[in-house]
Amino acid sequence: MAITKIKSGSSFTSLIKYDSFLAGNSPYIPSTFDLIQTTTLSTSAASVSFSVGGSSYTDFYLLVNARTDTGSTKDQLLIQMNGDTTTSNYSSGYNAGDGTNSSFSSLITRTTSTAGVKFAGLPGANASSGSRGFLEIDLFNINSNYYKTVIGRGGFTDISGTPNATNGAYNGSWRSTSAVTSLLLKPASGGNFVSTSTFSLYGIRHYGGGGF
Amino acid sequence: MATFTKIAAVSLSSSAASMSFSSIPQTYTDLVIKWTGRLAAGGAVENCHLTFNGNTSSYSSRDVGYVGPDYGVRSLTNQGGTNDVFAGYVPTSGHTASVFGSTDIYIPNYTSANYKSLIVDTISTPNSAAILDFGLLMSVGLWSNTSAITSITISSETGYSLAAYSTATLYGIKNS
Repeated sequence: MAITKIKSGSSFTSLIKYDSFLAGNSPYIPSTFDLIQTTTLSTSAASVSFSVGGSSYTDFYLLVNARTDTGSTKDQLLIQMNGDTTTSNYSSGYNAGDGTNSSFSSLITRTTSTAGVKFAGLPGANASSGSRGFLEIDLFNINSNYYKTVIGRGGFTDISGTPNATNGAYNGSWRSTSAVTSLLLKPASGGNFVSTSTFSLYGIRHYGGGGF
Repeated sequence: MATFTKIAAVSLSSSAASMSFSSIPQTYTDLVIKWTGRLAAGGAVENCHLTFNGNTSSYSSRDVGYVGPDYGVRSLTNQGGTNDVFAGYVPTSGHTASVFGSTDIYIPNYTSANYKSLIVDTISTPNSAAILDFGLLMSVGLWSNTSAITSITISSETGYSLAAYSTATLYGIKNS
């Protein structure tokens, strides 16, 4: 039976009436930019891992502010996905300036010698004390059934008399149609990230999530 | 849940020597500045720099990119001395009218006790075939200071005033 009239004196007549079904509540807006995990090293470490299996995000956004203990002025960041150590599954390229090469260097040919996507831009032990590299990295469509693409930019400079530096834009791919379920970050030199290095992984969700 | 929050904004209604953010809350993890600018005097394009906490020492910057036509490809050039850090490339009054340069600055871990890194992406492009000066640069910077960043000032490297309608917005990113 339909309600056709509310009797006067009914408790319903004292209730606040709304024009919207929200009834005065704030709408729920699904978050599109979430922190997944932050790691700040309290001691040096050979690697940092993120386990993200079954994520509902579309893309990942990774921030690295770090230094390594390799016996050199410079080091690179290696990102391995899903524990895949097959070097031919990865390629990397860059457009960058490097402290040992005064010209603007570029590499557009495929590098397949490393088991991971490689980004330059981290200072090693021989860079001036206290300098840190900073890399902004995007991993796109991490749940798609296409090969995964990665781009990044950043680098470091130190403040020595003849400064050491690396600065540029980087890209890479992981030839796998699997969803990304884990990331392993490590220095390409095989050394360690130093204490207080920080790594933050964020998830970006397109409307509806999941990607394609 | 991570947050990306506007902290403050500056918009010049008339030319001014600088744009500043002070009393920056210490409750975020990283800072982002997005700014557009133009100088009220000068040649075609000029550098801008920033300082932290009013400090004028212990900075380093290295850029890669293209500054044309006079300089061409630049690799690891220091756009400033040690008194400040590169903060963007902007057109001047000698540039195409109404053109502003755009710059994005990311400063991670600004409250930490480590030295402060930053990256700067900047572009200044003419809108006229008659003016060829164009700048597209990516820069990395370092402030060798363990203090937390509480203030930031952006100004011209050559001392020219920032033109009216230059704007800067400071955002905080929290990773917790």
